[in-house]
Amino acid sequence: MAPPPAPPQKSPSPSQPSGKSEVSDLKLQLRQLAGSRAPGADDSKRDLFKRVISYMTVGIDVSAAFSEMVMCSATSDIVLKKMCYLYVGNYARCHPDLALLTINFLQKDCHDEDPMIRGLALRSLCSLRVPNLVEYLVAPLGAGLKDGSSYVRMVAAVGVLKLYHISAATCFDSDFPAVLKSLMLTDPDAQVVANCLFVLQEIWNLEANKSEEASRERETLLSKKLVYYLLNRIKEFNEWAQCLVLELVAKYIPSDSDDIFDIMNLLEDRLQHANGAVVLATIKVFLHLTMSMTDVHQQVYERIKAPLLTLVGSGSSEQSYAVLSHLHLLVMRAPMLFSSDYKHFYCQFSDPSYVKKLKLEMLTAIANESNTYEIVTELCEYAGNVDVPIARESIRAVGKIALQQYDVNAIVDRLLQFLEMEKDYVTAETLVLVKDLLRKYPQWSHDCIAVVGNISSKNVQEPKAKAALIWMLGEYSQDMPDAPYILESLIENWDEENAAEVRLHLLTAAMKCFFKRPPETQKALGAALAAGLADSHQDVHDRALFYYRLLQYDVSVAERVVNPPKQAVSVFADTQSSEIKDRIFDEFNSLSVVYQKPSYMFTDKEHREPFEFSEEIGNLSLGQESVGNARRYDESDKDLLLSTSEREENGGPNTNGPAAAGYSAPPDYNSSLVSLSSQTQSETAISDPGMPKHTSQMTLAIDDLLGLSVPAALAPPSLKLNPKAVLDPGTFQRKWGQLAVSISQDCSISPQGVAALTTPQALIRHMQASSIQCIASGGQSPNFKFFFFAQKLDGPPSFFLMECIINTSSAKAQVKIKADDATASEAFFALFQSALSKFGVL
Amino acid sequence: MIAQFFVLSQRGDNIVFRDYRGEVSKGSAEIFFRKVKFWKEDEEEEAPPVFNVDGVNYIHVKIAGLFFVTTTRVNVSPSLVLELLQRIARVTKDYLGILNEDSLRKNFVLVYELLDEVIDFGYPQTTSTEVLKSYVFNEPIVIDSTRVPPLGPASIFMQGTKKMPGAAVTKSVIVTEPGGRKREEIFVDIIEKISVTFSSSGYILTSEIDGTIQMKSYLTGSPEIRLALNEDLSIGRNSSSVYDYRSSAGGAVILDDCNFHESVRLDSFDVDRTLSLIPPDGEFAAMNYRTTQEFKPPFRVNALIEEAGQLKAEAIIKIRADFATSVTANTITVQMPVPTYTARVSFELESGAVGQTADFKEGAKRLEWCLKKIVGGSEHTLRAKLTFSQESHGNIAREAGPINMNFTIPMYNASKLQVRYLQIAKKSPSYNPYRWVRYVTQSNSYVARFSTSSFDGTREATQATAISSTSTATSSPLEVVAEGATASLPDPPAPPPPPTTFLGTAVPLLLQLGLSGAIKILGPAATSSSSHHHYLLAYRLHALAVFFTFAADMVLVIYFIACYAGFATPPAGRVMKPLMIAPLAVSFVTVVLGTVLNVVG
Repeated sequence: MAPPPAPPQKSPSPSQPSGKSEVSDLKLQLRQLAGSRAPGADDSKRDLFKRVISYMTVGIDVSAAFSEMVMCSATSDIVLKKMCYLYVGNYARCHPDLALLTINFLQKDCHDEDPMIRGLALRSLCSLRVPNLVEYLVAPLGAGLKDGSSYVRMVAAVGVLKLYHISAATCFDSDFPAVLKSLMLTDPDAQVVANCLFVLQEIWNLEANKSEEASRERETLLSKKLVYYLLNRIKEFNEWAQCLVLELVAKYIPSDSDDIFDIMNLLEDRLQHANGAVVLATIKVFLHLTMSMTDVHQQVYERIKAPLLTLVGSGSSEQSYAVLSHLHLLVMRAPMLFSSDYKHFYCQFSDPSYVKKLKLEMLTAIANESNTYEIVTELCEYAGNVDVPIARESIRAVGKIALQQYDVNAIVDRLLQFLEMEKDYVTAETLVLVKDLLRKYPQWSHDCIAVVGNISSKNVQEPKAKAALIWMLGEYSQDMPDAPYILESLIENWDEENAAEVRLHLLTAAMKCFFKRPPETQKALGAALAAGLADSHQDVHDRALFYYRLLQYDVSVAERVVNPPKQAVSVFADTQSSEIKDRIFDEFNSLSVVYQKPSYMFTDKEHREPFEFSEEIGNLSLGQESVGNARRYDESDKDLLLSTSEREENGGPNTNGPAAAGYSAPPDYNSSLVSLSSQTQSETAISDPGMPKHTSQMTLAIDDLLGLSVPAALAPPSLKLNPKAVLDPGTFQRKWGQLAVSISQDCSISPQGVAALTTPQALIRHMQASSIQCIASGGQSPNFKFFFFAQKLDGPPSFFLMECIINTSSAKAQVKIKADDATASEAFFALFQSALSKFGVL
Repeated sequence: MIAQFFVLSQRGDNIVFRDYRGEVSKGSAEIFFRKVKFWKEDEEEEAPPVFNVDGVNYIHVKIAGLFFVTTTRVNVSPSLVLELLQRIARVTKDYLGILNEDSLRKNFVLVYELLDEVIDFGYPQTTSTEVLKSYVFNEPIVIDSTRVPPLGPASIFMQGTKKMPGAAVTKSVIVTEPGGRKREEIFVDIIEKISVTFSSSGYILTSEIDGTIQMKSYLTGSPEIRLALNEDLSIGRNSSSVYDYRSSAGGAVILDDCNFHESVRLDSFDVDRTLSLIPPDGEFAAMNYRTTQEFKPPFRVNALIEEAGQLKAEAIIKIRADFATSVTANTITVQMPVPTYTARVSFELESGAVGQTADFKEGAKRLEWCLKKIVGGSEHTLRAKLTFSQESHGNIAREAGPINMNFTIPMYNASKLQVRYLQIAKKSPSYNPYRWVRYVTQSNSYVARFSTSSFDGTREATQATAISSTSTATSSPLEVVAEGATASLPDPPAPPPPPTTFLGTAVPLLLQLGLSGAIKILGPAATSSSSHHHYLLAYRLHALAVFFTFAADMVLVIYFIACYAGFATPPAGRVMKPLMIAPLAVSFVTVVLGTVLNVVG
């Protein structure tokens, strides 16, 4: 039985599946070869195996040949063996019965003389992923962990993790984690140590939610002893294992400042590593270690600038992008520190658009008194760029810089020059910007209106730009002689206007114009109202009707409603809340930075970085002795590092009074209600001379209207809580691990409460008023998770710890309470419930 | 952790597909390819290297026209994965000699073998070519390197493959020569990517060099090597600013920053600028560096576009090679975007031009001028006549450009970083391996903005101020004053001046206003008279502008001297000294620049 000639150099890209016949053909040939000892049989086998693997690669199901492959696997040729292992690993799961066939030869190979073969066999054995074969795994794994060859031990360590994923119980029964732990501390081979480390990390992280022992084990991974042991050996590890160790160190909570400096000195030279991953991991360690030391933190920024810029320049464009995203994050946090480096962020011709976009944002952020001129000049060059999206983006950037208040008049000139370029997208973008500028700096209206008045509305097609133009026509109709007539012609073409946004603006503009120049506009307004009433769009119809009735009722009232004197907007709300920004910063050196989203927004629950919760607490606790301090260092930190706009925001919490003392979570300005009040507060706090004095009264009025004034806590007399309770996260975590659950109950939330719970911060503030402090929180509508604590006012220090999971769609809260003094927890729960029931009902 | 790794061809076929954790569905390669191919999000044309679809993160790099992709559900470190992908490609190249679709398809079993060892259950294990040698048993099927098309300009331009033509060593680390013996040799390539932006008036706006010392070692027995760099090399901008003879000091190389491969030991680096290392097998970057030190750009680019009657315009691009005649640049491409309403273009190459082509890419609306080689010291010009399909409104120079150049210059390095010597520890007296040290400079982003044929008066005025403000980057106080004139900044770093110093800001302000006003008045007049004389007029205008600036500066100087002598109140006491010197420096630079401009323009 001569082996059929292997298809010589068969085109390596097999045509997509006709599949079946080819697979059966392969099966036949394999069967013929199975027992063959003829010389050259191995070569023919190799060719056949290659074909099988190449089918497998392109996605043709070749599992039908499983038994034939196994039959052919009895060979001493290591290349054949490897191919066979690869095949078996791929298909064993769908053929658990056939997989049994492989166990025999794999087990045999596990005792081979050659450590290579032992390792390979062990790896394949663990990769079968067949639950009912687990029993065959334990013995070879145990032997592998004690093997004399470091290669086998390396493979065995990962094998434990594979076993854990197939059957966690078997893994624990065989006590493998303990073996790994001792291996990690004693093995001479650095890669074995590294493998043990990540295996233990993954196992304990997954187990931590189930058992308290596991979470304790997880904590020991962060013990000083282990961290120092690994750090002292850091140069023995290869670059990937170094990343792993550094990632661990970033989570380590140093005991004192000597500790911090020791670690930083030890790792200093890692910043000169050519591998960007090592550098970024080191930077994360530095940033996290120095969170509590403002001046050192700032030095770290200065120190890491150069290595980051070098990395941006040295790798492929993809690598640069990853580094640049991190640089972007740092720039956004501390723009002042980068203000002299602006030239590094100029766009290069070869930059892909995603890089250019990041750079434009950075340029916008770092623009200040000293560099605005150059930056804006550069941005203006991009505005005429052939790359239209980038051109648009640059115009927006110019506008944003103008809104940041530096050098406004020069920029306004530039913007007006854009309008003269007569490119439709340039005009469109610029109009939107001019509108925003006018809302912030009404004093520029004269210059702007002169230019805007010259723009023919026919050249403006994009709805946003058209709406902006119409807004300006309405707002400044007294300064634009043509305004009523332009509006009139626009109203005449009502039916051709597709965007509801534009039609809405048209109605309002016609109204405003009418109040200023009634005789000229009356006809147009009538036409607009009529057209609006007949409009099919609900909002347009409603607004037209509203205006109509308002006018009918009283024209002067209508004027007061539609066109009251406006106050300039001082700060446009930030698109991203500072809480989210902090979250992203905590997740430095991860995908969160690239996506500019915290991880809970893009990962499924089961795949979330398992340290998540402990990170929540861990990060809050970084370098902070008590929660009370947290806020303080945070603020001073921001004062030094953050842009003025953010500093303005920070004015808010400062004025919050004593309630802010025990404040642990960063405030969130995203929710519109809160931002409104804090904004007005900060306006008064900054005492802008241009700001009318009556704002403070307005603030009060708004506060009352929105129900933000915080009432005194009405605690039941049975239990009084310490309003300034302090508990550091480490202690919280420990206590949470030690104490038993004293109450676990569900309670419901009022609909108003659900409505008010747009972000976790809303509830956190509310609870503070009842002397219940929050230590960590997270989640997004509809699911929120909080960890609260409170302290009994009198008597020995006694804490209540609480986990509260709220689902707003079902309006239910799941509460778990643990307490030092379990007898008082009923009272505490009652207090909590009464506080919760008042949430949003003020 | 990494769930899957796969390599896709340009058409989207799987060449290699490895599932490590079984967490992501098998269809991920198809989802990925579709997403990348039809990427149109946020007006962006191109998919970023990292994106998320339904909770699965796709991270990819493009190398040699192939996609190297990983998927994961975990929030991993993006740079770790991207570095790893790049490293996998590099290791594969070390083994296969050449990395392309063909070689990968022929050797996919070997690649699987590598992948098994590089990543285990999603965790990176090792990417060292040397370590992997003991685990890999397949012999590579080496494809004929002569069949690989040479690295044309197109391949350099290909996104995501910052190609290193200097490193085109196409020998596998494990294949022995036909003679049965391995040739002992080591390649050291100093590769520099330069980025330069020329402003519309021809001066350098930004410049940067990103360099790599790349090694590829075929030495056996891991001998130690020593690589000596320039003795006067200094690192760190901050330290150099103490002495501050950086731009004028001829020869001293100052790097902003650098990093090193982990095998490099820096014991004597501080003393004699020598790197010592035991080079691992295969290709690796021993050192990466970056400098923003001024350097002489290899090419001067001048471009002009102007209207030549109705619906017509003429563009002239001039390149001068500013390097030694012994050096030749090759595969030069010059690209110039033209107004979107350009219908036809006719070209006029120099008489007797060899190896030059010019083309109008209608889809992309740009001119492409390719030159096979440019010898140092030579100058080349391209004239193009553009025909428009509609009338241009406004300034056509704003709707065209900027010009971008791509080139490679072997045996040239812009930073002057040199390898003084390369020493290999001798194992025996007869041991004398081949040592190759090569230099190559490549364009990363070489952009020249258009000169607006200088009859746009207002623009010229802004330019004049731009010159003064950029050239005084080191002496900021004046910059602030000069800018204050046009921009009326709130205040310099010092507190706002008291009323008595009103004169201090008012004088230059008025002067500058007067200047730009004069030009604004003259400007439109010049534009409207589109006669044959407009060039001359422009020159005169320019000279006028320069003169005015100079005069303004002189007045400033006198004023400040007066301040110093006590006749007037100084604007802010502690910035006096720089204020004294800066105007002089500025006026000098302005005059020089102005003259240069006039000559060149």
